[in-house]
Amino acid sequence: MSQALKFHHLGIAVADFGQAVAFYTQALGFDVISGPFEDPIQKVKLCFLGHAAQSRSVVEIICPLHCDSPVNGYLAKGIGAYHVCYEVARLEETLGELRSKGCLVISNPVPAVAFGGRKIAWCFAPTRQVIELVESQTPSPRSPDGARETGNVPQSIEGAAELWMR
Amino acid sequence: MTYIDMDELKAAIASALHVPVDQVAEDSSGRTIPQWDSIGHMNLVLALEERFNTSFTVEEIMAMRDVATIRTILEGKRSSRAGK
Repeated sequence: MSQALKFHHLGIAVADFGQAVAFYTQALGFDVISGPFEDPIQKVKLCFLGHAAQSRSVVEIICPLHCDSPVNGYLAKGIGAYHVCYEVARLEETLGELRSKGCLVISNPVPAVAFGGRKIAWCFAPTRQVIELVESQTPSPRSPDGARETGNVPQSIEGAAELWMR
Repeated sequence: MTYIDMDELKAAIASALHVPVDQVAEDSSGRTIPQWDSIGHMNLVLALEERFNTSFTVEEIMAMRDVATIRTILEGKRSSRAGK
């Protein structure tokens, strides 16, 4: 890879957001780093948790907001942890590189509320894992409110809902 | 239009989804084959890319919801490749 993939977080799907956050904070000693957020594009409620002394140990708790949320498919199969997220400097360039190395790009870049409008994208690796990428640079010019950038649902995401529910 | 052999396509899909080939029909989809779920779909797309030596866009991946559509997309890609 021409640029480093920096581990960002492990994504964990949960059915009960409050119960999951309570367990991670009270039983496992995690702290809420940011959130909760509601992302209308991904159709999820989420927050990031970590240990104060371990900045690299971050988990994302993800709960479906609607019955057609993409994470419902994982929950239906009893799958919790389902994606690893990496931060990259140039998202489009990394997507192209991953594509050339046999990864499927399953969602083109879209802004994410949880990252202040920074773009995220999704891939599926030949080793059968779901990978999320988040760009490390804030888009310029920066939106004053990342949430407002998410009003238009891209066709690829909208069309993916039925597929990812299964 | 460049022809894609339906039996070859059915065999590739059956292999990727780990189902008997007689379970795959032209109108088969995720609604008729339980193994054709979200992860199964990604496995299927990867297998088809390798088998038919092609690559799919995000839009094509999301459109490939049944066997007939997959065949149409593959034939379109072969035709455009043959025309170059």
